[in-house]
Order: sequence, then C-alpha cells, then structure tokens
Amino acid sequence: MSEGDRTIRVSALARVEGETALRVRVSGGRVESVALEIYEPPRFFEALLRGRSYLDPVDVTARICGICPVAYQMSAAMAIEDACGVLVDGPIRQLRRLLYWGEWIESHALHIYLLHAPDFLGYDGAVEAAADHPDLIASGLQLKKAGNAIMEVVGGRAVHPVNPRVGGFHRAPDRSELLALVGPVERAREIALRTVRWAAGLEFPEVGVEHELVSLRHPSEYPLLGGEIVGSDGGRIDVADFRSVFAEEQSEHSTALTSSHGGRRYLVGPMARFALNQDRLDDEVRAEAERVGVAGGTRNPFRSILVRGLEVMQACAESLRIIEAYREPARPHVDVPPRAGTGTGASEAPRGLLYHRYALDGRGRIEQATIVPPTAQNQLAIEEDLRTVLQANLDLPSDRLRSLCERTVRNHDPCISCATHFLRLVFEP
Amino acid sequence: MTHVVGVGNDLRGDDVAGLLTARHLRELRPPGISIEEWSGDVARLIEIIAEEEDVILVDACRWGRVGQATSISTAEIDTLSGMSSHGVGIGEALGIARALGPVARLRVWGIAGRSFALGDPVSAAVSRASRRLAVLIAAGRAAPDQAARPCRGGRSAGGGIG
Repeated sequence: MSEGDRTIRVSALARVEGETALRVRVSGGRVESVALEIYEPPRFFEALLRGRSYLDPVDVTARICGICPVAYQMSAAMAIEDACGVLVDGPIRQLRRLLYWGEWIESHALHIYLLHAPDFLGYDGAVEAAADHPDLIASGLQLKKAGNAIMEVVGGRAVHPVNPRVGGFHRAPDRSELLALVGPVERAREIALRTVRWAAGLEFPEVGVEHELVSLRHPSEYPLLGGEIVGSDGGRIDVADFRSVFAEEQSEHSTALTSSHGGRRYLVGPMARFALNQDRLDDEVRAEAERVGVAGGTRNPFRSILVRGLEVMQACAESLRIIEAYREPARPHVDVPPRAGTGTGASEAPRGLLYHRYALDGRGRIEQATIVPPTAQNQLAIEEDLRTVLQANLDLPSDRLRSLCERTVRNHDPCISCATHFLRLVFEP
Repeated sequence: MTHVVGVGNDLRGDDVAGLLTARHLRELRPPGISIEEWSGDVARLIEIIAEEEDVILVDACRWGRVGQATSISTAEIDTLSGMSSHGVGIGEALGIARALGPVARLRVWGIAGRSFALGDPVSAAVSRASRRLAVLIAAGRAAPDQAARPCRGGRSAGGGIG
C-alpha cells in the first residue's frame, strides 16, 4: 500500500435503523471502492407470506418496520385490492391518508431531531444534543407525539397499527375523535415551520450529487397513495409496470437486494418526490422552500433535513384538511372478495417509494409476494453519495472522514431492517 | 403510583418476557400500579420516564441462566446506551429525559432468555419467571436490592426502537 492509500471501515453505523457497515478503499488519491455492507440478517417476509390468506399481509408486513408500518400496510392493501379488482376511495381513502400523514410526521420528526440533528450540531448522539439544546429536542418530541396521536386514533396504536385491513379499516373513528387531533396537529404545524427555519441556519457541506430521481405522482395530491411512477428523466409508468423497468439483484456485500433502472442507480425518498411534485405542495410550503433555498428541490443530500421539515409542514396541513372534511363512512371497509389474479400497489413511505405485488389463487391464497422497499432502491445512490463526498474531502484525517461517511449515509435515513427481506439464497450443488 | 412498562416482541421467542410480565400483572389487578406494554416508540418512553414518578421497566436480556430475573442499577442502565441497533434505545431515552427535566425513579428488570429468533417458542422457564416477577411487583417486593443477582455488563435482548 503506497502513501495516501487507506481503507476506512465503520463496523456498525450509528443512528440508522438496522445493522450495516461501511467499507471504503482509497488508492492513489482516488476513491477506489465504496461498499455499504448491509449485514442485518435477511428476514424472508416474502416467503413467509406464500400460502397465507390474502387478508394477512396488512398485518404481517406491518411487522417489517416499527418506524414505517403504515407504508407496508397501505402498499399491501392496495396491491391486494388491485388483484381483487376493488378500488377503495372516498372517506376510507382519506382516513388512510390521514393515518399515513401521521406516520410521516412521527418518522420525519424522529430523524430530524434524534438522528440527523446531532450531526449538524456536533454531537455524538441525541443524549448529548439534548443536554445543550433541551428546548430543541423537546419540540422535536412534541412534533413526533402529534404524529403518534394520529396513528393511535386512526390506526389503533402508534406502532404497528392494528386497525387497517384489506378494504379499509376494522373501525372508523368518530368525527369527535378526529376533531380532538386538531389542537395537537396545529401545534405540530407551527413546530414544523420553526423546524424548517431552524434547519435553514445549519451549516451544510457543499456537495451536489446528480441522481435520477423517482417517485410517485398523483393527479392532484402530494404523493402518498398510488398514482404513476415518474422519473427526473421524464419517464412515466404505471405501478403495474414497475418490475419491467426497475431491476433488483444480489450484491456480494449486502443482504439486501440492490435496485437499478437501466443498469443505473436512482434515488427515491424525500429529495426525489419533493423535486418531482413541487406543483402539488401547498403555497405556504412552496413559499417556505423558496425562503430557505430549496425551491424546486436540492441535489445536496445534507439539505434533506430541510426537505423533511417542509414535508412535515405539508403533512400537518393535509391532516388538518382531512380532519375538517371527515364524515364517518357508512361502513369502515368495503368488501373485497378474493379472486385469482395479480395486483400491485405503491405508496410513498417516509423514505420513498414502496412497491408490493401479490399473486393470488381463486381462494385468496398468496402464491407469490414481492416487496421492494425504498432503502434497497437507494443503496447504489447512497454509495455514489459516499464516493462523491469522500473524493472531495480526501485531505481530511481518517477519523473525520469516517464521521463524514456516517453523516452521508444518515442523510438518507436508511431503514436497513426494511431492506433485508429479499435475499435469494442459492445453494451450490 | 407505580407505572410498570413491559418491553418486548411477541414474535421473537423469549423476547416476549416483559410483555408477559405486564399481562400477568394486569390479571392480578394490583392497586396503585398502572401497566403498559411499550409499543417501541422512543418518544413515548421518554414521556413515561419524564412524567411518571416511579417506573418499573421489564425486558428480556441475554445474561444469567434462562428464567433468571435480574435488576439493573441506575448506573448500569446508563451503559445500555447504544445497545439498540436502531439508533435510540432505553439508555438514550433515559439520557434524553434527564436532559429535559426531572425523571422518574426508574427500576429495570431483565428476564434471561435463550432464544430470540422470529417464530421461536417461549421457554417454559421464561414464562414462569414472568409470572413470578409479576407477583413480586404486585406485592411491592421488586426493589433493586431484592434481586437475586445484580447484572454486570450484559446486553439487552430487546427494547430497541423500531
């Protein structure tokens, strides 16, 4: 190894959901290789679902993640309803959106304040940050609590909700129950605005990474449930065509499958959907985005903290509108009789596009299940971010470079547990 | 009023120990004790530690013989920081709550388990220990100094966020 050659290894990344390591090789003043080594054991959820009832995935896949269970529930329900030829709309769909906004609020608040903020404030973690900035962390917890409250009222509990089902909900909340959320959500909206303005004052490393951006796009809403899949390259496809356009493959260094589009990396998540859906934002949110310098989106992944804050503003405003307009549906769910067929569903998890596909037999038994989560789709993009950030900072000592690598990964709020259900084991004869 | 928090995962074998203790305790209907099965949400745990006066937290652990219930001192609770793979664990929750203001008197009990994989059955010893610990808590006999053996630097088996 010549002078200037070095290997940087982070054996366990902190403040990310799940277990992953990072290995970087630098040689001759160039970043030679970057590998996000996801070693969290695979969990085989897709195989677990085979042979089970079409009513089960909403509950089973919620267990994939404690941070974004609603995302799994909604993508699963929509895919199964699609297979059965049923479209859920009206107040039940609005309740689904409200539940999902609750998850966005609590997930983004957790990441902004407890996982991401310490990076910008110069602390090892949230405990140290809380010691010096108690009011800041307390307001973050209050924001998260508003999201939890929505989840509890609509979903039955804040983590792994039990109320959603295929066709809608087991029970629709009374209007009075939703009206009780108005106060906490209005306060959350104020905190979200303060969050964006606070985050705008942080110091961001200057970096820009060009990825192809991919997200859902709805005809009239900021994307959450369904719509088309669009890309920054101008591409636009039906959700049903996802697998013919996006490929998954196993890499040696990861227990998660990695995704690509035409052999190239792409990025899903807040930065992608924010850039691709500017015209679906509320005027207030768009104006604030302009004020803090991310109008039209940003290519600097460190600025994703601003985008998450703006998305929380949007989530609060949308939640208040849904609550205001809510009238209890005649029935909490529509009937979804089973039939043989294949269905697909996609929604925007806090971390990005989440795709489900189920093949059912005539009795509603699951013959095949496919789940493609956002973090698996982002793996190549995260590695490219690392390559770009490292190449620009090779003059830093290794400990600072290591810290910068960890920050670069955390920019994307990766959910490693979500990403590791997909290992296809091949046993050599 | 004492608030008892059961921590764990129903689907991961002996990791259910804390939840079982909470459920046994609920059946006993002890006066002066409120009971909660923790959902795994860090904000809620911080809220509990910050707002309750007296908290007993029960989780599964990987130290001791299977079925052994062990208390963890306050100093040892601090060492639980960073033990969750999910970024924010019990130790961090306590640290954040302390930074934000006065906190509850907190006692943590661990029940040693054997298997924690998805779909594993619950060990008979863990099931029995959960019931015994519930009876002790209901009788007001779950003070730390009554532990059979104090914990020394073990690792939490569960209780991670998310």
